[in-house]
Parts: sequence; C-alpha cells; structure tokens
Amino acid sequence: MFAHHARRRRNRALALGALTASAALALTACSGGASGTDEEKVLTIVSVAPPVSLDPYLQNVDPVNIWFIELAYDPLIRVDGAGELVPDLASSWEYIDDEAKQLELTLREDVLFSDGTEMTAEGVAASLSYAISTGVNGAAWLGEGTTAEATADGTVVITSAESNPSLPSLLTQRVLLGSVVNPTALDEPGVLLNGTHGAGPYVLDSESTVADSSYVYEPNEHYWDQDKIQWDRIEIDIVANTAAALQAVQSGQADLFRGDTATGESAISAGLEVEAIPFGLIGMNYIDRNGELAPELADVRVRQALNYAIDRDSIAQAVYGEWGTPGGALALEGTIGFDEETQDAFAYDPEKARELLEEAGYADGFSIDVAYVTSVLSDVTVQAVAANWAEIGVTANLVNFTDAGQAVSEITAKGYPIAYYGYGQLPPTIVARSFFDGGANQYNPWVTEDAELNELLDAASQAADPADAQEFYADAFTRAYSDLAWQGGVVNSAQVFIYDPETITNVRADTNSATPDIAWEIAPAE
Amino acid sequence: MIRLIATRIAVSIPVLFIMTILTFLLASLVPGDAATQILGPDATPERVAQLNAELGLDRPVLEQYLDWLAGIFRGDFGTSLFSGEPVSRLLEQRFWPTFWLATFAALVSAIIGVTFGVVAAVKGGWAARVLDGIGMLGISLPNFWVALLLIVLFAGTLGWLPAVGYTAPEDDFGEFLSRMVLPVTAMSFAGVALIAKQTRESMAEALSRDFMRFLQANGFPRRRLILKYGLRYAAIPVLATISATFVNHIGGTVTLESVFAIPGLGSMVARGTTNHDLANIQGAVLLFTAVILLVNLLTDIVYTLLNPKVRANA
Repeated sequence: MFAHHARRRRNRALALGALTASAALALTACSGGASGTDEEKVLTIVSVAPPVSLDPYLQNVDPVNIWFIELAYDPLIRVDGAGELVPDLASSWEYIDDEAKQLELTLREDVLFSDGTEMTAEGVAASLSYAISTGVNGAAWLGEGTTAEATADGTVVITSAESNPSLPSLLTQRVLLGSVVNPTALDEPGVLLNGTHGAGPYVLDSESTVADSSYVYEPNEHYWDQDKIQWDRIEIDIVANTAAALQAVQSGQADLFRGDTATGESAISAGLEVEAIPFGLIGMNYIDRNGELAPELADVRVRQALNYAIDRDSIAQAVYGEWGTPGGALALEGTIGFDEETQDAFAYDPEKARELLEEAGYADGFSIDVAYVTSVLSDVTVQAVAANWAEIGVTANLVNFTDAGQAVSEITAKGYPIAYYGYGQLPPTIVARSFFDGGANQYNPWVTEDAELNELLDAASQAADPADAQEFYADAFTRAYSDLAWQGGVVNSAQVFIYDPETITNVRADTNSATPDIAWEIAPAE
Repeated sequence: MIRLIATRIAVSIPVLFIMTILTFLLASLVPGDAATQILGPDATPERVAQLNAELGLDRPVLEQYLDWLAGIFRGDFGTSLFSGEPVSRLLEQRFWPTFWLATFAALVSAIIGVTFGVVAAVKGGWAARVLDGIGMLGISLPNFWVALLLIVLFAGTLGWLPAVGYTAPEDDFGEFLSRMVLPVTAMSFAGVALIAKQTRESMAEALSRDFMRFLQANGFPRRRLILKYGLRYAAIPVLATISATFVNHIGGTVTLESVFAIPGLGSMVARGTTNHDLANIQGAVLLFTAVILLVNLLTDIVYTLLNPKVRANA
C-alpha cells in the first residue's frame, strides 16, 4: 500500500519534471526563418484572407484572391506587370466584326492540363460556357446571351449580344473570365473547390493544404513552358492580422504580402521594399438621385454642393498619406476613361457649396443618412467627409455595417440615399456596368439613367479604335461626375505590396494589372 | 467512481445536443448569408437568391438543422461551403494545433501561476501586492494585443522566434516548439494571473488554519509544511481555477489562432462565422464542447481522488 503510494508520487514527480523541462525548452527554443531550406526554392506569401473559392468562377476578383487561382489556371490572355496584354493560352486574338461583338481566339498548340489531358478548342468553349452560366461575374460582365463556340481546329469565337471592347481584358488573370478549366472537372461538381484543374504552371498540393490556413502549390509537370516555373514550391499562408503579417515578412518567414497604409509605413522603416499601385476608387455615391428618401438629393445643385464641400487634398493626405491621392471621377490615372480636368472638378470650395445650397433652397442645410461598411480607413474617411459637410450645414447620419453582405443587401434594397463606396480598378466597361447601366445593384439601386450618358457609353463600347474609346469613356465619366454629380469621389488609394528584396525580385504591377504576377514574374533574388 | 463517470457522461449527452441547437440558431442569426459572401459585393439579388437555393440555404432553419443532425448520426459532419472539404477532415487537421496550444498554455499557467501564488502567500506584504498588480494587468490586457506586442518584440525586433505559423511536432519538433512559444505565452498571460491569485488566497487561508500553526509549533520544517500540507489544502480551489483556465483558453484560441496563423479549431470557428459556413462552425463547436465536458469530467475525478469528502458525497 505504502510502496504503491510512493511509486505513484514518484511518477507524478517525474511527469511534472518532464513537463517543466519541455515548457522550459519551449521558452528558450529559437529558430530562423522556415522558407528556403535545403536550397529548395520556396516562395512564401502571406494573405490576410483565404480565397473565397478555389473555383476560378466562384471567386471574386479581389487582387489577392486571384493569386490562388492564377498559379494553377493560365488565362487565355495575360496582363503583364506593365499592364500590357500578352499571349498565354491564346496565341493571338482579334475582333472579326466591326462592332466589337465577336472575338476570335487562336489557341496555343500542345497545351496540357495538369492531369496530362490535352486542351482542345471544345474544352476551352466548355470552360467559357461554364463561366457564363455559373460564374459569379460571367453573365454580368460578359453580357447576357454571350456564347463561346469552337469554330475550327484550335480557334474559339466569343459572341456577345452587346459590343464589348474590353473582352480581351476580361479574359486575363486579373478578371479571371478566361481562366481555362479542364472540362473533365466540369462534370464533377465540387472537385473545383478543393483541388485545381487548370493548365497553369503550378498545381495545388491538396495533401499539404489546410483549407483557410495554408495553400501549397507544386510545379505542374505538364505545363507548356517549363522555363516559366521559377519555384519548387509556393506557399500562401493566411495571417488574418496585417501587423503580424508584416512581422512575418520582416523576420524572414515570408517573402511577400499585401499590406495597408499603416504597414506600408512600417515596412519602409524596416528596410523592406514597397510596391504601391494606384487601385482604389473611394468616395460617396449619391444613389437616391430621384429624391425618394432624401428629396434634397434630387437637385443637382445639392449634389454639386456636397462635392464642393469635400476637402479631398486634406483627407487624402491625412488618412492615406503616401498611399493615396485626391480623386473625384471613376477612372484612375493611366486607365481608359481618365481625364485630368474632370479629376480636378469640384476643387474644395465651401463658399461655393453654401451658395449652391442656398440656390437650391436649403440655406439652412439638412440631414441625411450615409451607409458604409466599417474598416479602419472607411471609418476615418467617412467621418472626415461628414465633418466637411457639417461646415456647410449638412448633417450626415453615419450608419455603419460590420457585415459587407448585409450592407450590400440593404443598400441595394433602396435603404439609404448615400452610400460610401470602395471600388477596385477594373476595365471601364465593367465600371460603367456597376455604376450606370448594369441594372439594380448596390451602386445604382434606383437604376437612374441619363440619356446623354447612355449615348456616350454606347459609343464608347462600339469604338473600335482605342483612342476613340478613351475619349468616349472620359466624356461619359465626366458627364456622370462633373455635370450630374452622381458621385463624390474622395480618394484614389494605392494597394501596398510589401516584400523582402533580399529573397525575391521582379515584383511589379500596374494599375491595369493590379497585382504582381506570382505565377510568371516574381523570381528568386540572385 | 464508476457511478460518477457514468452520471457525468449521461448528463453530457443532452448538453452536447443543446449546444448544437444553440450554435445553429445563433449562427443563423448572424446578419448576411453565405451566397453573398461567395458572390461578392457586385452580385445581383437574384443571383444571390439563386445560389442560396442551390446550396439549400433558403430552407427553414429547423429543416437545415435536422438534416445536419441526421448526418451526425451517420458520421457525416457535412462539407464546407467554401473549401469543399469534408468537415471531418478539417476537424482532424485542426484538432491537434488547438490541443497543443491550449494544453501547453494550461501547463505553463499552472506551473508559473502556482509558483507565484505560493511565493506571494508565504512572503506576504509587498510580494502579494506586486502579484495583485500583475494579476490585474494580466486579466485586463486583451490577449490579441499581448500577442501582437510579443510578435513585434520577439519576432520583428529581436528576431529570436518565428512570428506566425505552425509546424506539426512529428514533422519538426524543434520548429514546433519554437512556434508554440509566443502563442502559449500570449495565452498564458491571463491564466497565470488568475491561478496565482487563487493559489495565493487558498494558500494564505491554509497557512492561517489551526493545524498548520500546530504543526509549525511542533517544529515541522516550514518548507515541507507549505509544499506538502499547504498545497494539498489549497489544491481543490486551485484545481478548479486551472480547469476553468483551460476552458477559457479554448475560447481564447478563436482570436489567438487568427493572429498567429495557427491552423486550429479556433480560427476555423472565426472564419466560419464571418463566412456563414454553418457546417464548419457546428463541427468545431461540437468538438470544443466535447473537449470541455471531458476536461470537466477529469477535474471531477481528480477532485474525488484528492478529497475523500467529495468521494463520500458522490
């Protein structure tokens, strides 16, 4: 009995000792970075959120979300780091009509999918049809009634009901609509969610991948250009907190991530490189232009007054610092539809704003609801605008949402006269569809129309010559902003990519490509 | 003892059941839906409604719940709407990181907390006051803030430890330990404070009892007196605190795993909630509940072993 007790006590003491020792070991252990051991070339990227889906067509086109897709799915046409369209799975393309409705793509020969099956014109047409029928953006962006058909050996023709000069841009890895899916995977619903079935340089290693935490890609041995494969492994780890993500890059655990304004500053002082790309259109959307909820908004002078009252320079400087510029209209510099003069319309002039309000019969001001989705930057931006408006007697009742989905449905259901927007750079056709002529959505719940604007947009979409398209889109965006004052743009914000120049090189992107190309361009540093 | 275990297990089953109903209801009340999440901000309301119907999310909550429950009895925990992975695979992948994190944190909290508590009780005076101060700090500082501070200091500035991530112990044990240090430290912060406070109070009470004074008056060595009789006297409330701390730590994994990018159940719940991925939330919460019930059962057993009075009442 006693002996038994004694043994039990000794065992307990031993166990305790072992635990203490391991805890002590844990407390003193230290280690260097994890990537790049045994000269294996590993690219480690940190993303603050996992992909919405691994299915290219159930994926939204957030510039970081697309990383998860572009590694495994080559697009028909690629947009390179300089923003130029270059051949990928399609070796060439051209409109075969005069109205930009029929685009013929000549496919690259001898392309294999990651399972070794051959890419055919029929397969590409099936993939495009899947994008149109099932894709998140397919029908909306390619246009209802758009079809894809394999015409001759190795060519596919996309026919859309409406003119669409942006079609080639929509088929790039930036917008994903041309990311070709192996037709064998289209027959098995579900396989696209937890594996990849494309003709890209890498393929998802499902065994090593932990969904929502860590995504591991290996080289695709069937890829059509093995020279493009620069890494033995690419890992994208999900770190929800940007400050922790920055530390991961700073401590050498990771090579690249998309930061924000706060981490951008810290990264520079920590000796990391920052690639900043103008990308975001941020502002106030005066959606109740008919004055159903807020009669004041029906008067164009009121909307113009609100625009004159916004001190864009100060807000851009104070909130975004180096990572933002004042911006009014719906086109970023360097993209189709940009116009310098329009960008500077409504220079800050509270006196003029007051006069316009007085003319419109609101000398004493009014109060109005403003809906927005809360985030560090949106909170501050919206409050700054509200403070500007208060100076001309307009009281903004800020209604914040923590859930973006809920905000979208309530705004779309005509719940608010003004909504804050943060919109990422996309081809002008799509911007126009979102804000002006794409039916009821969160950017235009009342589907307000303007005959002159519609004419300009029609002309723009039919313009075969890019210079004409630029002119018509610039006129259209000017009409919407300067004349109609449908929106009050505030800031054009930059995306901030932070990387370690000692481990990776060739990190470049342009407003038109938005994201550094991790599949083709980013390479190990010498 | 067997009766105690049997009773506890019998009580646990309805608890698990009620927990699943509550989780399902609460998760359904979170504003927004999975289809909007999948389709993104630009989707039309028609497309959202269509996808919700395709996913079966437009059915009454009760019907969805009963479907899910029927699946559980067949051993089918459902499939994640987003990753397409069976929830059972996700639970298998994610159980161990959370287990190690919560267990190490409980051990570290217990060892350091009890040591601090005993020292404070024995020394009294300023030591007790310093401990109370540290205790208040530990309880009031949010753990994710402590976590970020630790990351910035030990990973960023000093470069001693990895900032984020997890390595399985069977893959690389050294790496596993080094990656556990910061999360375990962040998580133990409040635990140490609570346990130390409880230990100090219980120990102070033990030291003031007549039998202790009697033993001391009889020339019993003080060290042995404190470590053998004092600790044993204080053990039950301290054990209760340690067990409660462990349960707290499981809740803490939800925030800390996200900060440290640990692929555990906590981050699965956090992600599932923002995404409205019901099967993921249900699976993880079910497993959490089962573990908590098990910990409570083990605590009861240890109580019984330590205290004959509890045994007699059981």
